[in-house]
Amino acid sequence: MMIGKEKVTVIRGEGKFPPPTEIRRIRPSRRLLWKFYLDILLVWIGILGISFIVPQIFNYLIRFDVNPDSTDPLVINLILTVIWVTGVIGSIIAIILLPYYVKQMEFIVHGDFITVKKGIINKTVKHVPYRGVTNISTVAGPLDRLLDIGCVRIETAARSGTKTTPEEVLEGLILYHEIRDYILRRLQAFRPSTMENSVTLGPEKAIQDEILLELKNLKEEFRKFGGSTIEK
Amino acid sequence: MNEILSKKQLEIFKLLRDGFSIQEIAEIELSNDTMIKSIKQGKIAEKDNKEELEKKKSYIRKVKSVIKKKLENEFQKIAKSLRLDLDLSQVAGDTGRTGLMFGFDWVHNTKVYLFFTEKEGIIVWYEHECSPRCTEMCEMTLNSIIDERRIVLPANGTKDSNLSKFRLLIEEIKRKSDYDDR
Repeated sequence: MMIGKEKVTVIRGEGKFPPPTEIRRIRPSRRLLWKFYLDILLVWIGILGISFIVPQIFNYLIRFDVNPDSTDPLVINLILTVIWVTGVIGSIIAIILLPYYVKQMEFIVHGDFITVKKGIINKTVKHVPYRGVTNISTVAGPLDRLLDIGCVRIETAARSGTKTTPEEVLEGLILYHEIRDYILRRLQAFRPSTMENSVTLGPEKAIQDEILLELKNLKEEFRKFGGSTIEK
Repeated sequence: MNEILSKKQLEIFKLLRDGFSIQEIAEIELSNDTMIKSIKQGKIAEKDNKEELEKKKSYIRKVKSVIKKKLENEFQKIAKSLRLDLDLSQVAGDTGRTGLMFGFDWVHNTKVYLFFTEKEGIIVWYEHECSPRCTEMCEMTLNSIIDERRIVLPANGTKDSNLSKFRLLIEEIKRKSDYDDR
């Protein structure tokens, strides 16, 4: 097979793949950083839009103004200044801190749980056991698709009932479909499938049938000895 | 003819792969140049000074970084097409010296090794226990890598299965490339 310039020989074998002995560390792609920068850019487009639209609305409202204090141009200017100053300061802080934030992020896949490390100021280390996982989904928004990345959202039993946000999000993954499938396979190892459940019901049903038969026999016995009194 | 590296780059890569230090390669290159000069001029050229050796060393370093960049780019392309997780944080030594990179396949849950070879191009090896059908082919490829890299496996390792032989090969490559290139 040819990939790029060079001849490539792939040797996959037909035998078994030995499971890796060491833990897997996944770091988000550098593209996640670009996604965050694009987010900031979009926020700025929003701020510029507001800065343009708000004075237009103000000029429109001023025509019908009964109480001139409520549409004071100073108030509008003050609001816009606050938005701009907050936006500039926020963007500068974000641009400086985001590379460190992305660099700090790490997802470690253990045998029976996933550890997620995040944060610069508040460093959080979360352990998500496979046993508690109720739902896994992959999300790739427009920006994610543009940058060819995605995220895996993991929901646990403790979280899914009360809050809408997932327990943990593994962001900025290139191989997010493969990682989701891997976690699903790990989950299957911890939980018996529905097919297996139905198989285990077999002996239970036999016991229930036996109890029912016994009860029917008892009823017959009662009928023989004083059935009329029981019926009354 | 190799498509990724030029003739000169391939020549230097082979020396790097065989365990020569940058100093040694610079000396070899310099002595070759001196020999060519003397043949051309018909007389023995003057002995090169320290300055020229330093120049040669910096040239070799530059070529090495170009080799590394080219190989890593090619490996990344392959990893992308085969949906492999290329572990850049866990590079198997210096790629410019070893021509080797680690990857991971989430689907098969196994380690993957990407080799650059002169004859066979790039070999993508999924770590696996060979079945009777693939043993012969795997052994052939493994031996070609071992021969090309002039690696001598420990005597007790040669009779092992392909998988353990392969693990020994990786260890040997790592050991051979464990160089301080300053």
